[in-house]
Amino acid sequence: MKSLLQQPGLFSRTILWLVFLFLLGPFVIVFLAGFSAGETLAFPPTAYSLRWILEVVAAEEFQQAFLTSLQIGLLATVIALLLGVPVAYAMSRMPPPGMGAIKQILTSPLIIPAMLVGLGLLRHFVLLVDAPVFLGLLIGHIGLLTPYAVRVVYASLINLRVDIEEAAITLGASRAQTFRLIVLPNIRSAVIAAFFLAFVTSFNQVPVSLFLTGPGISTLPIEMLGHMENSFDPSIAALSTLLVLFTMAFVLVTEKVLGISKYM
Amino acid sequence: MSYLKLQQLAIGYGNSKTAVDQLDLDVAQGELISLLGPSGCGKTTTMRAIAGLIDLRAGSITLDGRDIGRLPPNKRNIGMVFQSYALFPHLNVFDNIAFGLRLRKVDNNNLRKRVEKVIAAVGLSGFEARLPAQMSGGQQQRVALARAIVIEPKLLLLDEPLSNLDAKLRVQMRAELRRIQRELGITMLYVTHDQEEALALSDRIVVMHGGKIEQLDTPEQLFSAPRTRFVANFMGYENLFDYQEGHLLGNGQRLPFVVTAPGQFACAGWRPEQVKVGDGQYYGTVRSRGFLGDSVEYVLCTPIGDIKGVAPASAASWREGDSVKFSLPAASVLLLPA
Repeated sequence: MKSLLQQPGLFSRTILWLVFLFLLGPFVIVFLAGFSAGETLAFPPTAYSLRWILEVVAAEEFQQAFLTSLQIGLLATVIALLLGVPVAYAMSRMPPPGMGAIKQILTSPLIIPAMLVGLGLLRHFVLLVDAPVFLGLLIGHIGLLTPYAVRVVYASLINLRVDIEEAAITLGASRAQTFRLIVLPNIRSAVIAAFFLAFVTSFNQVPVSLFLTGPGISTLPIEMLGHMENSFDPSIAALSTLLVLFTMAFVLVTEKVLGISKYM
Repeated sequence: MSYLKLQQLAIGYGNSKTAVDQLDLDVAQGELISLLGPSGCGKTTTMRAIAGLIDLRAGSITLDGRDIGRLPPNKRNIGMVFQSYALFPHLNVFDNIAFGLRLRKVDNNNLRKRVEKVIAAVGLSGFEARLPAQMSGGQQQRVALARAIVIEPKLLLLDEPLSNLDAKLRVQMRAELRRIQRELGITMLYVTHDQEEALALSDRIVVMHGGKIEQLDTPEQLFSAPRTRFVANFMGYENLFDYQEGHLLGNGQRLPFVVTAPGQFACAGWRPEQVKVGDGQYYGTVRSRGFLGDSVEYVLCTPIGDIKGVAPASAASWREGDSVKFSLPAASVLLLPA
């Protein structure tokens, strides 16, 4: 009789489940804690209720921060796309000399710790020109999101044949018409995927926002961080649960509809 | 009076040296002209310059009495069929074909009529709602053609349009292209590297080499009377030798061959099927043989280099290494001055 470990695939399946447990386990704990009925954060909760869920939904500081996060996320994403799509198009259709370097620079925000970006912006922009908090936050997020937009759209553009644009031009289309009628419809799903990816990135962003939020204006993750420093009730677990569900729904819907994973 | 006139064209990419230089060409209305040559000869470059997809460095292009050489490509009213078809993947057959007419603001009734008419002409009725990805190569090819001709262009450019089709379909589409060209009376410029295709299709053929025109002639003339070594080789004269004072030269060796025709010649050549293996005044050693059905093609090793010839299959018993006689008939020799 074979030992258990010699059964085909058993070893790799065990590893797979351990990884799942490692990735999802903490979330299960937070999830359950969020439905606690008690006064303090504890696991497992002694009793379950919707008390803390309802409480965080009603809390004004969280509502305010949620709105700020939403505004920053949407605005920064739209502007990042308005910047990123033309950049990606130029990179794919008329690669300038030193293309390798340009790609490096555009991906560097994905490599450089976001904390440095936040600190840099704070010291050399916000403090220097005394910029409004919202503007500083917005600029920080735009800088963070643009590389995502460029990368996702660029990947789609280099797979799009150039000769269909030439065909459109010989048929009488101007450059602008060609972009609108031929290029854009063919990179549509990449642009939408970039939109969701960038929005989720902005919405969950901590390190950059940490330096750039200020009096009266805070994003949701920063507000949560602050709340956690002062109290130890299950409201953070409840809020986290809501946020994770929100983000997951977002990503699931995008993946189902558009299959964004092929661009990453 | 020529319809399309290219004068002293010079074309190049970026800072590199010119790909096409001092090119002159006159095309009559309704003519089908092929640009024939190996890859890198400048034929596609010339075509793209006519379409306006590459800028001219010098020269002029006149089409139907109008200088179009400096017009933007979308203002030239020249149709183009791409090698890869370049169909718009997000549009169905009808919308692909209607694209040019919509840009021209043709009213809906008229547009529908014109699109349906070309769809019928290329034999795609019933396929209007298909997307390009749902069609075979041959069908996509027809859509590309229909899309280019529906705008009633002054000139139709075709860039190796049949090279992605299989051999049988290629011959069939060739005949169909010719039929459509005749029916519409459209002037066509056809780029190809396939001499058989060019010979079968064209009114006249431009053989290009190194960015210049080597010879411009009818298919018959080009086939039987090539004027340069390059064209001769391209047209199937695979046995080409320097000729001097009653001798063929090669490998530093000489083979006696007397030209009786008047004039000065520097080169003599034969097609493989003109060289008779098995009889004659010369000897060679069989290097390789290939069965062709009715005949066998031999590559013979001779003092002046390899010579390709044929023998009737019934008499072709020689094998690699055998010594065999062959003849270079004076009657069929092609003589070139240089």
